Amino acid sequence: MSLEVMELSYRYGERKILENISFELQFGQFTCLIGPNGVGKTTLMRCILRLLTDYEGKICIDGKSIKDISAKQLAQQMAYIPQLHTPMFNSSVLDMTIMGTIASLPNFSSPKEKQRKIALQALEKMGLLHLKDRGFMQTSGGERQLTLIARALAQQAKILIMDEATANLDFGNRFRVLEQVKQLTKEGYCIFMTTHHIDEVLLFADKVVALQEGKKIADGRPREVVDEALMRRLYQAEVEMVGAHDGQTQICIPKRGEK
Amino acid sequence: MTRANDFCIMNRVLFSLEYNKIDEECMTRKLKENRKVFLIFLLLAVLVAAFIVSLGLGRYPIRIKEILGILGSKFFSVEPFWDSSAEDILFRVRLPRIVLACLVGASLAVAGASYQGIFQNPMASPDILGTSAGASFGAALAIMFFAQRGAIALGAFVSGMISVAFVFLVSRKTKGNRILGLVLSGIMVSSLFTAGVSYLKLVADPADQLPSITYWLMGSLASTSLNDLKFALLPMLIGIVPLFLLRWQINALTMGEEEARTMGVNTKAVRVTVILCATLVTAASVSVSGVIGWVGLVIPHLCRRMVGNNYQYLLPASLVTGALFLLCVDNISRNALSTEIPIGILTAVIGAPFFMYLLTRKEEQY
Repeated sequence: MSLEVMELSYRYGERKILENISFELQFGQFTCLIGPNGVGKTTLMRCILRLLTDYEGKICIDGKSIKDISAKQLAQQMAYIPQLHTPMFNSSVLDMTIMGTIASLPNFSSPKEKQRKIALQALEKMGLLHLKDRGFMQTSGGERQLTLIARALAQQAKILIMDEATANLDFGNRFRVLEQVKQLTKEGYCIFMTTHHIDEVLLFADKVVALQEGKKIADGRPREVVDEALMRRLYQAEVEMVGAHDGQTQICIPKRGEK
Repeated sequence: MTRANDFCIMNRVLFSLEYNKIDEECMTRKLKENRKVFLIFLLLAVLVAAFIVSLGLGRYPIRIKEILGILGSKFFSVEPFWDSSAEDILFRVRLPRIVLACLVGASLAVAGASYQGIFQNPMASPDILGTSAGASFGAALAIMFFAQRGAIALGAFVSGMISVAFVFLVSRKTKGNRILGLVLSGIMVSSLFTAGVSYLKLVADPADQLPSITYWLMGSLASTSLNDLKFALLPMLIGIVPLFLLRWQINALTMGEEEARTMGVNTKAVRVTVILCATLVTAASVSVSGVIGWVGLVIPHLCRRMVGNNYQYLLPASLVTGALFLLCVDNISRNALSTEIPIGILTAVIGAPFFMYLLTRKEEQY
């Protein structure tokens, strides 16, 4: 099973945003999408989520184009985890999570006991069961992001698309969220996340896709793909790849004061 | 090895504990939700009590015992111990008016709550979105040219729809704060339609059309007949039932267009349906009672404080509280002074300060 992006191009008027992009997302893998601001990461993600449909090329889940799947079916296969935001009306963490279950409900019906159980299990998996009656806005940033992940789990989709899900989190919360995400890939989830933090990619991702000016310039295992040259090309940044004591983990740190 | 084993066992025990915990959670959760359901039923009981008491209020007092007797005689055989004029007043004058007050209050509150959800905007309500002003214009136009109840309602609906659509489109073009954008476009559209109404008043026949437009604009439930009831009931039901069925879709839409879409919600269809239904019930209310402001804004906010923001509970709570509120206000309107006070004036006098109070309070339910 996989999600395939095939020769995807997207133009906005005359401007080409994405050009001939192909890659594959595997189940049980954590894939990160990196690239500088304004390079088309969000557009690519919106195409995959079918929020944009006027693209050229094809996006397929198990060989079936997402354009041929109904909105409900798509929602049962793929869930979106947005960047942390403030909803207009505060609701409890549990209500927020239950919302995910409407993907599998027929129109005009409300979640019942069964859906509540699904939501509670999702919360439990994220370690949030004790917060279920707390207001969403009364929880910490990390807990809120985990609640949004729990909502995606309650949607019972196996493909999770995350939009800079760690961008607004503090150091500790960021890694707690990523550990949970990594755990999910071990259970067979297919996870696709855009990020600006290269250390997250090196520490957690199974695969990385790099975009530069609407084109894919790299695709592969982070340890093989991410190097000084790629960082220079992507971000015009001079970095040094440093190994940790365990001899496996690598991290890249920016060099100061050199051109 | 043993350590690994221990870990496994511990894990399993923890795991099963967790699952029992979920079952337990389901139970305690039920209790908590029962609290909200209980609150809604409590409000409903208060509404029924207020309904019966209201039947007795008025220039010609009827005692509770007589009311129950008269009402009961419709279903069982009861020996009449009351005046026949009491029965007449009850059925011809008071009952239609009281039922209509409940219906209009319920409709406006449900419409307001629904607008707030799909516009993701706490300030959305029939008054602020310009629906009321738009509907007034259409109704005034209809009073001038047709003076027929059906035409007035249709005029109110079409014109109300146009104003909502207009406000929605304009507010999407505004830059910056979306709440502000919606409110400002609402003010703009409202003032356009209000200007239209002023012009109609200017050219209306001062002998009969002008007074009827003016009086109607102040909002009034006086001179309600059984026909009014029959006329308003159907569109109100047609509007309110889909809103109730779409409660969870509205919940999802409060998260924003794109998130709702990724949850499998057909956002366009839901949004259009909700706007159509909410505008239909508003127009139905306006066509029988004139412009009654504030109910659609204040009551949903009061209910948010009572049962939280989940539309599963918010809509029923708004329905019952809206009915209760307008019933009480109408009682004041017809009993406080020897002459009737137009109800639109009263809802503003009561609603505006109450909204201030809600705004300045901090506690929150969710």
